[in-house]
Amino acid sequence: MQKEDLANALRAGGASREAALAFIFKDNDIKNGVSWELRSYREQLERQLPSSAMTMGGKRIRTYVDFFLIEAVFELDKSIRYDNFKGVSYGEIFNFLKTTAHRKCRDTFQKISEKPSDILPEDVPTEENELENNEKKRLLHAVLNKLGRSCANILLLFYSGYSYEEIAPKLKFANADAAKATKANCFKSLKGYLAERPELANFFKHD
Amino acid sequence: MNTETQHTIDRYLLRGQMEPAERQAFEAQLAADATLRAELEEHRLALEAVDLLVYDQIVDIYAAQPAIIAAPKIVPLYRRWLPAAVAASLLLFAGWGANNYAQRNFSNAALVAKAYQPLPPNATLGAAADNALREGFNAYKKKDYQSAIAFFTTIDPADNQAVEANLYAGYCYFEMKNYAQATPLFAAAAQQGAGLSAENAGWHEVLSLLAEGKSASPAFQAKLTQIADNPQHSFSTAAIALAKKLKSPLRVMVKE
Repeated sequence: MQKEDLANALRAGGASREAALAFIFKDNDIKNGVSWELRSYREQLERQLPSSAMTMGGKRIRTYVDFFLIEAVFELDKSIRYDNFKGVSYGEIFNFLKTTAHRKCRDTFQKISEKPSDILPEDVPTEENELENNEKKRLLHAVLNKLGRSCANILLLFYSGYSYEEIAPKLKFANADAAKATKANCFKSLKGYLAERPELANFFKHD
Repeated sequence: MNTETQHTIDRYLLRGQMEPAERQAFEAQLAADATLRAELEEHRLALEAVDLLVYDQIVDIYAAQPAIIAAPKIVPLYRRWLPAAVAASLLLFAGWGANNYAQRNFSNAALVAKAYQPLPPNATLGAAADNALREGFNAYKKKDYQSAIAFFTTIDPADNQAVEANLYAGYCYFEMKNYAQATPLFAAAAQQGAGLSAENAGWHEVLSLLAEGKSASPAFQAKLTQIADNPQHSFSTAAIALAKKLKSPLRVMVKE
């Protein structure tokens, strides 16, 4: 993949998008650019966020720069999914990632400064926070678990840009129509489970 | 919510899949139908839940890549300051070079040194043994300028060799860098005679004034223009070249 193909690949969804995301995480310029953006927060964040303690979904995040880069990449991916990001060049993606990482880091830093003894139950992905403090995310994971792995997979594939024609062989459906019908049922189930948890609906409303 | 409504809402929310006309129609439908609006809101909430799956997927993709060690202290510093430092050094070097060049080629001393053309002692009068100025010429050739001056200044102004006597006395003072004494002697020689010696004296009067630092004086300007404007003058070309160099922008860099 070339740098200038990045935006198109992210927009294409599916396997192209995944390759583009991998490209971003391997790109030295992006990593260095984000790192430079966060330089003024470096000392305090390293003290508050020891890299050895940072985990997300059971995966260890190597540095605080990586943490905010992941946050920024998620924002970029979401903005593209909802058609809010109009950039087409590598430079525009680069700038989006830098400014988003900076904004998220600045917000985190402000919260740390305001409440040094109450470190960010939702914003800092420490193992302790993930297991004990992040009740809402835990509940949501419980809902997703209740949904089942196959439903979670089909929803993930569809909403990350795979077509039904691509999903069908991947998840061993007879054809695209079967995949489409299954996805609709899974989505309906998800909404049903969420309706059983009104506190989760409130959580999203306030996000 | 039926399956088709679900797909329609997906197309409305995701990746700009809806054409503008269809979007407009759907929005009109939303405005009129409270149930549809509620379904859209539920749909959005469910998509937020799906985002958690997407987030985990992104973390998985991140974790599968080899670690990159960012170098914020080195790279940005290098990118920001090195080009500026190199540019500043080049500018400094260029400035120093230009200054040095100007000093070596456009200072009064450099211009005078290049233009100084004293006549050899026997150029006008020959080397005759009975030359009345022989004693002074011998001292001059031996660079015994004081003795030469002492001799040349004894020559009577009415003597037919007074022009040469003043000219060589001027050279002596010039060699001793006593330009204030040299200038009037050159002027006298230039006024007294004609021909090669007088023209040489006139040119050296100009150089002597320049060496004195009087290049802006009216006397210097008048003498230089007089020579430059006379194509018959032996030093006309030299005078034009000197005038041109004195107008060079590099002259402003010269420290006298």
